[in-house]
Amino acid sequence: MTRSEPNSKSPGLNTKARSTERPDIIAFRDVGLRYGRGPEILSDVNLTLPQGSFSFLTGPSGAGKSSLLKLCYLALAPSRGHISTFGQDAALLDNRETQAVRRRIGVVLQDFTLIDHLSVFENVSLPLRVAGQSRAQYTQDVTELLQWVGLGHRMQAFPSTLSGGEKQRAAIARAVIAKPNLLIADEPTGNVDPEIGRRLLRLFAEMNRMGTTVMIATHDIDLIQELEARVFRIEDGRIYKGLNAAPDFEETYS
Amino acid sequence: MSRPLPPQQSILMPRGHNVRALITVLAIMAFLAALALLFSRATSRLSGDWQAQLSNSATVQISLAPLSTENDFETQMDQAAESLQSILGSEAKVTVVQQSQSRELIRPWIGNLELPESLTLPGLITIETAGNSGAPNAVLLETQLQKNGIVASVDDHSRWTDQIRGTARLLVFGGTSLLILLLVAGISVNLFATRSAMAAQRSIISVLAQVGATDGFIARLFVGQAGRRSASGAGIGLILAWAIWSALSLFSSVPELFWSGWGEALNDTLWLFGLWVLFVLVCAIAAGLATKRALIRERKRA
Repeated sequence: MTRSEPNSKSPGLNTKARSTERPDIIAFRDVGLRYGRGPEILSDVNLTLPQGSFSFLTGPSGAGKSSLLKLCYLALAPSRGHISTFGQDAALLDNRETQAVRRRIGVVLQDFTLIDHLSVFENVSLPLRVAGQSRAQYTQDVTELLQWVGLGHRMQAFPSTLSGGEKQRAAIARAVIAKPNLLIADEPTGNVDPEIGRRLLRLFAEMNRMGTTVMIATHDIDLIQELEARVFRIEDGRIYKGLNAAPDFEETYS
Repeated sequence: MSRPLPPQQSILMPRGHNVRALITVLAIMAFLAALALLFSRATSRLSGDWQAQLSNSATVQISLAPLSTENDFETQMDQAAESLQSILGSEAKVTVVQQSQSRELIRPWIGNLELPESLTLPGLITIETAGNSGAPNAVLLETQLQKNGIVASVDDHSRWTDQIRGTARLLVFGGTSLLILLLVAGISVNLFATRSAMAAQRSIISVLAQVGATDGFIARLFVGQAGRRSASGAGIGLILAWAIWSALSLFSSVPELFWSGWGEALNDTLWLFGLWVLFVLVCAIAAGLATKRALIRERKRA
């Protein structure tokens, strides 16, 4: 594997090179992030996630992958630069608008963030409950999805009784249940066996085929090579293009 | 056939930290608040009764001419009573207090000693006016009696009614202040409990924010929790106070202070219900405001 040069261009502004014109779901422009008065974790990040794209984010531990994802789902605000989500400047969104944007984003985190005293069914249905749907409206969808991810028999189980892989699948089911426009996953196959991992990847690919923009942070090279997708490599807080980039990615960044 | 799903679970931890202790504290506060309310209302009611009794009556002390026989006393008192009746009209009730009755009235003040029969006591006449016309004007009555040749001093009880009114107002003010203080304490307890519950459930709030819950949605969860907690605590305290008051009404040696009939009991029970609603409302509103403030502060910190 050869390391590429840092991408210094602003992809959000370099739209002429694209083969097809698709609105950006996320656009970072010269984004920097630091925690408190510490050093910059991310520097001069420029990247876009066009609508319907499938991207991998890879890089060593501590490189800033999770921080970048947090910026994507607005859990953090950048120290400098601009982030645009669904065409809106994230810095200008009030709380209600921010939460409306978050409802369009499904997130799977490394630590699953399942609520311990809620059953798997209740955890997975949480985004729909927050969106104001009644139990009668979502019961069938949640049940079907749980069966699809292999948790149909554990719907009433509590997270403390689940294995790591089961928790992972429950977290993924919660992230996708509301059919988000953007799906962000941090090491989604880290705790599951290869077969389940491939099955989950097929779920992400299927969602992407139906129009969901997907961004997955992973160390798993095999997983990256399963699909032809855009790949961002992050190292020392900077974004590099890398690995088996998809054609539109090459056009954008070359 | 698939099994039916169990009922929807509460997003927040159903039994947070120290909930039982918190409900006990709220119950004690509500109990004290209920007693303060019941005492205030009883004081107000009792003073009203006393004032009504006193304000429609007066006591006339007749200055008797030197007596030669016992009949002399009766004659002079009958003349005074007739004179009063003619001044006040037939609707007024004029009653001559007999010497024996006067002795009974005085005896407790001199150590329950028997008064000598030869001791002449002041001649007293009580007046009760009809309806709510109030006590007769003392000065006017004295002047009119004097015109009829009777020297008398009239006590219209205004000194006592003023004192009763003042004392009752003070007691009601004290009870109301105590009630307000207990409500404020209830609000403070709920603010503290909500903040502590938010700290304990920070991870849940973070998940909720991640899936797009607004501040309003999260605040409603805590409002519901505080409302249920306050409803339980206040309910227990108020029911206990109601039960004790009922028992006192049945068995107390001073029954006039407590409920003397179904009307009073029902009226006070409605007041207690109002207090319960108020308690729950202010606690829930306090919890909602505390949640929103904490969420905004948390966001600013992030």
